[in-house]
Amino acid sequence: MKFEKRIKKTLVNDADMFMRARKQDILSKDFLDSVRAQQPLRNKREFVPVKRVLAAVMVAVLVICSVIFVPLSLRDNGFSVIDQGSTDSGSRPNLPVINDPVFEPSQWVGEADTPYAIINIGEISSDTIRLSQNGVLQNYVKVEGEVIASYNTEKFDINNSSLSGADVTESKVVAFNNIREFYITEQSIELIEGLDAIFVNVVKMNMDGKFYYGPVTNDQGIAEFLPVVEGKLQINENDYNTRSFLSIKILNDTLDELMDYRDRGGEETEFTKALPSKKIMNGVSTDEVDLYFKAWNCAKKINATNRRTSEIPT
Amino acid sequence: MSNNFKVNYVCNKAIIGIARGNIDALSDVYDSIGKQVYFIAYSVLKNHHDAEDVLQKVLCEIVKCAHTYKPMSNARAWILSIARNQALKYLRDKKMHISLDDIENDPQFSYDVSFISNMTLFDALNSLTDDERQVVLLHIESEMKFREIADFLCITSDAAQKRYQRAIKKLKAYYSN
Repeated sequence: MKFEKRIKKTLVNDADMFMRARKQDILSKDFLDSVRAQQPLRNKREFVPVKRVLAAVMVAVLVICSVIFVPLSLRDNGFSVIDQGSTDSGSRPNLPVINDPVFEPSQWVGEADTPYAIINIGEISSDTIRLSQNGVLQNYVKVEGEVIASYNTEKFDINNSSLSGADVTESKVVAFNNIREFYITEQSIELIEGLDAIFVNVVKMNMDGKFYYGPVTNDQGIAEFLPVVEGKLQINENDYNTRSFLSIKILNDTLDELMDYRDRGGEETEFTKALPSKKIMNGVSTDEVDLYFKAWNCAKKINATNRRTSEIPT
Repeated sequence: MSNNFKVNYVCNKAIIGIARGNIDALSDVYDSIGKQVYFIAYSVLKNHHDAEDVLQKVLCEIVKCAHTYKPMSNARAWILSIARNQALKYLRDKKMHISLDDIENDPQFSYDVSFISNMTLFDALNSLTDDERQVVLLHIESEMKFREIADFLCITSDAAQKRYQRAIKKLKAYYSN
């Protein structure tokens, strides 16, 4: 298995080197110029509204026909719709139109209804510890941090009885919101340098039969963990000890897209009502962050049931 | 898995940028998924020049079709599907399947070999059979799962895994010597 990993690494490194070396030739100026020349003169998105209008007209015609002819056909049979006392007065949920191209936040992190937290980054120390990540030893750097806002993390409160099995006698175990330090791999440290705060998605982790809490992976490939698991990491396969984070910029970009959706005429819904007006930054109150999470959570629920696919050009 | 998510994120942004006219975003596509595209093409065509041609065709196709891409769909799968289609189309157009022997005797190939003479990658891969090389390239370089490889090569997932294991053994022998 070790050999296989080494082979993989060698092949991947060689291939990376190869691709880097060929980049200038493949993406040459001539090539880019020719691609520019081939680019459609008008973006077809501009035609989408025209298609929409046509579709809307067709639907409208269909609806009008239905309104006129259905009652007539029913009356022919001696049956009146009005007499039925219909109460169908439009109480359907007012969800955003899923196929509306403006409802497309480019980043969805984690699942709906999971807890979130924002951690203010303090000093990045020179202290490192060596721990295993999926069986590979790595250096982790200690980073001071403070939980400045959290959502739904009460289930991770150390005093919460639902945290059965937690090692409450372990001196390092603290309530989630009181965490003041965490660790991140050396390779990833440059990713948080210059950032004021990061966002984490929190889960309960099973470590050696005991439950701890930490940020959930968001598949960004960035490992971090909270100090409560120090010395507890397991080498077992499929034991996801390492966790990830996102920069607040990505969150704010997503917020921009959500607000863009609302501003472009998204119907008033629980989701649009919840959208906050401020971006996430230092100084934003916990209540405001809370609003953001609620909106995001709501949007994710909608997104989760409506995965988008693109037509593949042949 | 994590890498694929990152690739998806970068490609998604880049394609949206391209659709808005930012051709320079092709560089991001190249950096994040160029290698996967290249090796998919190489696994089909077994020729460096052709694989590079296909990579360029794929990049062109992305520019042409970026407006049809729906943001938040699977950008990686979208691009890799284009790569597969383009590679097969290229092969059809040439109306021949180049064997490794043909490639080695091809003067164009010697250019490539001289270019990468300091790398053991292609030497090592040449120690494998065509089938094994395909699976290794698709699994390791193009980061496809065995299930995806099985679909791609029209074989079973078990067969793909077995070929891969055989190839790894051969590579082990190659690197031991």
